[in-house]
Amino acid sequence: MGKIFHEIRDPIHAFIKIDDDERAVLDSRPFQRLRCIHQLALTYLVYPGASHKRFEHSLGVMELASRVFDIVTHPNNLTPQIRELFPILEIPEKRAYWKKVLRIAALCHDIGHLPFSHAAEKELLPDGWGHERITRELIFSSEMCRIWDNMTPHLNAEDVAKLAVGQRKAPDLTFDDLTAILSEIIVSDAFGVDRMDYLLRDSHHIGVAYGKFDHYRLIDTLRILQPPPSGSEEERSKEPTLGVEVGGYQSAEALLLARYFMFTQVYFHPVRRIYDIHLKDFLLEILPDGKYPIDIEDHLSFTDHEVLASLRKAAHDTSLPGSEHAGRIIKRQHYKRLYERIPADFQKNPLAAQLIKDAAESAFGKENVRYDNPSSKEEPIEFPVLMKDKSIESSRSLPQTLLQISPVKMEYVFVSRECWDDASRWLSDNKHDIINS
Amino acid sequence: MDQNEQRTILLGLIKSLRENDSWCGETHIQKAMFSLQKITGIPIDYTFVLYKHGAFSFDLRDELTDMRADHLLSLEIHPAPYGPSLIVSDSGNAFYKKYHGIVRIYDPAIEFVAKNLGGKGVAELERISTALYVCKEEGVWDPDDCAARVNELKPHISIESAKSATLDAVRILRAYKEQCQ
Repeated sequence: MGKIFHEIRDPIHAFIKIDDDERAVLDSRPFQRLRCIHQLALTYLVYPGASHKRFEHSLGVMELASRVFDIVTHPNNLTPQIRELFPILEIPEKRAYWKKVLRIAALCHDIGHLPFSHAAEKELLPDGWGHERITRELIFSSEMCRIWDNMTPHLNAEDVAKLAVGQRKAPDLTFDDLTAILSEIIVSDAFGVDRMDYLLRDSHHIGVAYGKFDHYRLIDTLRILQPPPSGSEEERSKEPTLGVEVGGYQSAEALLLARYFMFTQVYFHPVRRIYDIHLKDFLLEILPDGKYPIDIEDHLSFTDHEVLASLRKAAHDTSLPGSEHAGRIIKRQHYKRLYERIPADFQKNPLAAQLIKDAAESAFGKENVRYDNPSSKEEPIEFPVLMKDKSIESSRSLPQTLLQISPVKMEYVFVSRECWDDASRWLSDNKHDIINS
Repeated sequence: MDQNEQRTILLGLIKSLRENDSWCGETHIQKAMFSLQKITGIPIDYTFVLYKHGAFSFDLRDELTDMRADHLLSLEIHPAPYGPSLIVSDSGNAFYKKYHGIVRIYDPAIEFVAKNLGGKGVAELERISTALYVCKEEGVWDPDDCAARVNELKPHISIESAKSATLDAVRILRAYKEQCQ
């Protein structure tokens, strides 16, 4: 007789337990492939510890999703309004089904990732494609559908896909209030467990404390709530969303601050960003038509290992395509930061960085200049908070630490190190005129 | 339409909503922009899905965040329990002034939407935008069918409220057509 549960050691969550059905997903080709996809692309060239993979992150997301589900659907934690909205959660079989779908969706949420994760995804996939779409294709593939069919109870592939990619990336699928909330548990802007796990895990491996927060307390205080009033009228929407009990508010603040610090200190680190750009330039030259394969079999056989092998080969053989860019990575001859957006310049001219990029290209040649403008996008800092007297308030109306968190946005202009000295002098002499042009 | 033009329209919409007594939280702006696209046909192409409180665009959320990062918008905080409003900053006003000439042609459409939706609260906007979404995106125009579909998608909206919202959405659509004639 096989084991009922399998235990996997994890540096963040100690032990992660999986059952036989989940073991089948773990053993599948799409999931095993994640062992070969770096969570943070080439970040390990800057922070050597950042060599962890999507495999263990996905296990962590499943573990956290499961904990959140147990908390937010516990009968003691449902308000009468939410209980009325989700009678399904009081039927044990239904509750068990959706918990299983959630765990599996959490496991599978990243299986469509390209080699080196997010690096260059946008430019290297055909229009209309992102890793989430490949994730969907894989969830609906015959290989995975066989696994869903063998489970008890059988899982509906569409249910798994909805929760794994969420409403943003599956606008053609219909989400009801329940599937919307459950997908929020994985991918939401504020309390998605994908975000919780990557902050904790990335911090751990990189060796920084920025991404740490009290996730135990936060998860224990998460609740499904109706939104706070917005506007001067008494009427409010009744659409449920993930919020937090007031006792966990500081943990929620800590999560959002952790995210802010990780973006400013790690994810948007200029050297990490320029390595992504060199990698993209390399892939554009070596991939057929400059595009990643979207065929499922091709996707499954293409990992960081294949890309790294090509990089190493090309770096030492100038006759091979992409050799110049490969050398920049392998020999650590990356472009250097010439200019970084500063508030004073931006106030004078919102297009300052782009004008400097254009002028630098004219002065030193397009091939010697690169421009990058990462921004943290989603703004997760408003959510409902359940107060002691059972009223619901906006996180924005409580003590205002969160107000100090600005969206993170950077702009960098890089130049090749061969012309960096000249370019630095040139910028010092010409910056004022360029920005005021 | 380039990003500067699109941002100018967004700034104009927010200014106009505030002039028409809107609370101007993100939800209000989301629904107003959806209506601007679907009712007036302004050539902005934020992709909307049915999500938080009705029609919602993640692209628009990203853009609003980006505009805060660029200091074109800022947050106005209100006492508990209310959520914040978005306001056009001094830099935003300067930006609007610089580019307004290019998109002036859309001022009547922006004013129409702001006048018709500015005074409405989140719950009403949620109902109307969901009804408008079902009419325009799913082609369900019969008020009873539309109300049933809205209730199916958003069970917390009753059939009666959904029907009333459908009639409101159709009335606003007709009013804009009449204004253009």
